Amino acid sequence: MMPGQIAKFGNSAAQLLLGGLAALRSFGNGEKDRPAVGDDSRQDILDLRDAVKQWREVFEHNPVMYFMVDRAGTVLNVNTFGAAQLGYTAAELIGQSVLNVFFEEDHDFVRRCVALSLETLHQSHTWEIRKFRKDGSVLWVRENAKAMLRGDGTPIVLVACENITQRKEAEDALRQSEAYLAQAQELSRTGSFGLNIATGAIVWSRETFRIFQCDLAVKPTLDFVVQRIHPEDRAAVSKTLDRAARRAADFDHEYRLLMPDGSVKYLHSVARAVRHGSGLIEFVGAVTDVTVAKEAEQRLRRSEAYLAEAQRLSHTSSWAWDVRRQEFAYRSAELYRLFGFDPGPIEVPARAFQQRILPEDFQRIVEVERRAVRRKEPFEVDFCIARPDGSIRRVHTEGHPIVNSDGEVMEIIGTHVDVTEQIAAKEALQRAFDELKTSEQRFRDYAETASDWFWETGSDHRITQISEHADTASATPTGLIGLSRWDIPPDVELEPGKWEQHRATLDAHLPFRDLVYRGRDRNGSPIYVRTSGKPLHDADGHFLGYRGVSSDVTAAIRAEQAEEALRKAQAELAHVTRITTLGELTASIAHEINQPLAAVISNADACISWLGRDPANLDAARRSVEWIVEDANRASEVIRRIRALAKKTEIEMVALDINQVVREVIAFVRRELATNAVSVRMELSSGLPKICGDRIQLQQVLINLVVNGIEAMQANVDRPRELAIRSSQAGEDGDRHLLLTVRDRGVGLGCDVTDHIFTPFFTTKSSGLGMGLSICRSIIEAHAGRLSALPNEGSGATFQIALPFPHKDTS
Amino acid sequence: MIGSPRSGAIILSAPSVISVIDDDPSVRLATNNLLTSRGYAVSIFGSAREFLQSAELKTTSCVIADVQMSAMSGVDLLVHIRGLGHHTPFIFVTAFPDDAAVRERALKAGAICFLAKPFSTPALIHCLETALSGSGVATK
Repeated sequence: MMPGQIAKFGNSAAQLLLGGLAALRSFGNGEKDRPAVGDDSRQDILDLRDAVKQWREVFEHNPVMYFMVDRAGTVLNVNTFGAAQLGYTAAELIGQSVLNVFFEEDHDFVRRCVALSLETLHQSHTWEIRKFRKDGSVLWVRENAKAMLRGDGTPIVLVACENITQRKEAEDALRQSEAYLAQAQELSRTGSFGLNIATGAIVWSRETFRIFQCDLAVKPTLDFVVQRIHPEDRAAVSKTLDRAARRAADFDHEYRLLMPDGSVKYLHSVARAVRHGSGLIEFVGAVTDVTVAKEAEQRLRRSEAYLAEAQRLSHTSSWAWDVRRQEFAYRSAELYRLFGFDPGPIEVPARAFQQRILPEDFQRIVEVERRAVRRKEPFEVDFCIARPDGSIRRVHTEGHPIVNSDGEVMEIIGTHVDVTEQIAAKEALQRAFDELKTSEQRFRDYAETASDWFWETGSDHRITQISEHADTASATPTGLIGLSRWDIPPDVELEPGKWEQHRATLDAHLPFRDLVYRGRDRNGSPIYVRTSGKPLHDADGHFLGYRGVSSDVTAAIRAEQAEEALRKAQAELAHVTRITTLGELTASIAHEINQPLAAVISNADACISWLGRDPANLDAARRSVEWIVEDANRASEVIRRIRALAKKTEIEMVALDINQVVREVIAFVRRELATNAVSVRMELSSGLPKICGDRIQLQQVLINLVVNGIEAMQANVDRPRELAIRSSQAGEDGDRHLLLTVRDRGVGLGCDVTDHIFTPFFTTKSSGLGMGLSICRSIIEAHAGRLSALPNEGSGATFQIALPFPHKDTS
Repeated sequence: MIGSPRSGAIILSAPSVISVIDDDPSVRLATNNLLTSRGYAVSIFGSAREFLQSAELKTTSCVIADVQMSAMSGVDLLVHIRGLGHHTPFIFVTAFPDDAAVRERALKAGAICFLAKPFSTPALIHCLETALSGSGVATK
């Protein structure tokens, strides 16, 4: 570091002392040399001696360092204080070169200073320089120097030094802290500012210049700041500043800047109002560029919303468990809902959650957790929750211990899946299966034993005759003669409409067919009876009554009811698995919506540009708006499709273009395809007749087959990951049907597996309920089709769906 | 109002052509519409292959490509083109912005920007300006 610049110095204590020192020196030296003089002179000499003594005291102990050096820089004299400051005695320094106490790199500078002083006799000079003490420590001094001639005409330089080490250190510290501050501002993207609203004066730190993209050489003005602020935020900012100025109050606000390149910055600014003596208000504050945080926050909020939605749809909640504290480190909102708590702002302790787990289950969970922590292994456990409303939820849990660098398990992260509905649907399906089986048996039994019976009624509709067949068993009722039909059945109250209509038919003497009603057999057991009759007239056309036939159709009706229950259970299960699948497809869904949104935004901005041209290009603007409408319709169509999948709807059999169904499915799973680097080859025959089916259920089957295919190829290294989807027509006239195949090049099917993959609850995967393919088969069978699986000749498997085309005469 | 008319109407003196590659027809048309309205000359392509077979391969000043395209992805196209010795600047847009691996690969391969769909117009224009201002160096 170079010493401070050399400058002439004015009147100061140091100059006076320097003058005194010079006088003292010349006197002290002269004393020995001069001969004695007269009395008057003697008194003068005595006075002078006193003066010398006093000056010597001043010289030696004045807290200023004095040096006297000759032309060569040799120390001729130094005061005690001066030597002591450097850690020497005066004797140690006198006769030595003064350069010994200066740093090597400063020697030239010292020599120049001495030379300058000698060239300009009697003129004072001042500079700042470092010295080092005997112990090596640094001493900063401000030196005043002046050269003068001694009695013998030889020039000497007198130097007085003040210790300015403290000031220098303070300056260094200040400089350093300023550098730190600038660096800190840059790193934290925070600038500081001073603002005087009355005068419009603005002071900015370097970082503030950077944030506002203002040249450092330009003086910032309020106008410039206003121009930079996003037009939508200008009013709010000026309102904030006005209020702060009026009330002399601190302010804290956020606003946006619109930069020249069109980008937007988010700023957060806080300021304190400082009132000066003159009454003027000044604001001193900091402004932080929070764009990155804002954008991250928006992204985070969006992805959290997606996650929450996916968790809600798929009944999945996630959590992190702090093993040491035995408390949650994190839990999703869905976890609160699962346990019957409000996901509100109040912290619910882990204990409250635990108390809702059935006690015997809780004991088991504690043991499973301990074992997982000990062995550092993931675990799965099933348990039940009793909610305060009395409902029981069945939960499947998977947990993974997180091991820290010390090899200790700190946390367990995991998921709870609410499987109550899946299990209930499974059980209902199983029950429906069983019931169907017994129904079929019963139907067979009845068919073997039951028979029809004939009857006649009179003109008053009362039964006059029942003819028993030879083989008639217990079904034919007895003791009915003289009763009307509506006196017999127990369902008159249940279905009054049916009977009113029937009586109207009879009163009009019209024939009737297949009236089904509930009655009792001769043992009193409830049965279903189907009856048909036609009116009887005599030769003159007078109404005589009815004659007809009845049969016991109990078995057939029961079988129908069982089938209906089975269909319902399947639909329920299909819905539950569809929702689970949908939860896994959120990324694809986002993609499908983002594409048209991107187009909408681009076209809207283009429209503004076309309108802003001079002259405005109205045709192009109109075209842009038309495209916006198309793209927005596309986005809303995507949302409609997702809602249709998530909705629990009745099965709706309509005419469908199967190729369209395939394309919609591919849109749903695009993300899964991209992530797993699977390409899709579609060979869709054009001109296929429409098939009759439920769009949602067929989509579900295809999603299942495609996702299965993707998973089967996950381990592919040397084989391409390619999925081929093919639609075609097969069969002869009268038996024409649609063939849809999904062919993968994955691990393929072992022969032992092929037999079982369509069985409910069979799975080769570690996760999942194993219902996928069995549901698929039952859906296709409900469409009067067939779903089969075949191993490929090379690698992989092919799933084939065969669906009949509707007959032309079907109305 | 976001874009001021001044920043919106930059007409470049050099005959620079922007090539837009996207397999989604509506996004492709919309990007074309936007850039044309801002005074850029634009060529559009439905696939990486279509672009590679075109005359624009050698003359284009900047490529705006979708990342996920069937057959050849945008990132594969960039790597391929660099292999051919072209230094055309690349801007990527994607509807799967959360895939960090793809993003890293794209930037490593030399993409100037990696924008999430839906992207804001100022962001796209900013990327484009950056790409075009650096193109003098890149063509050497």
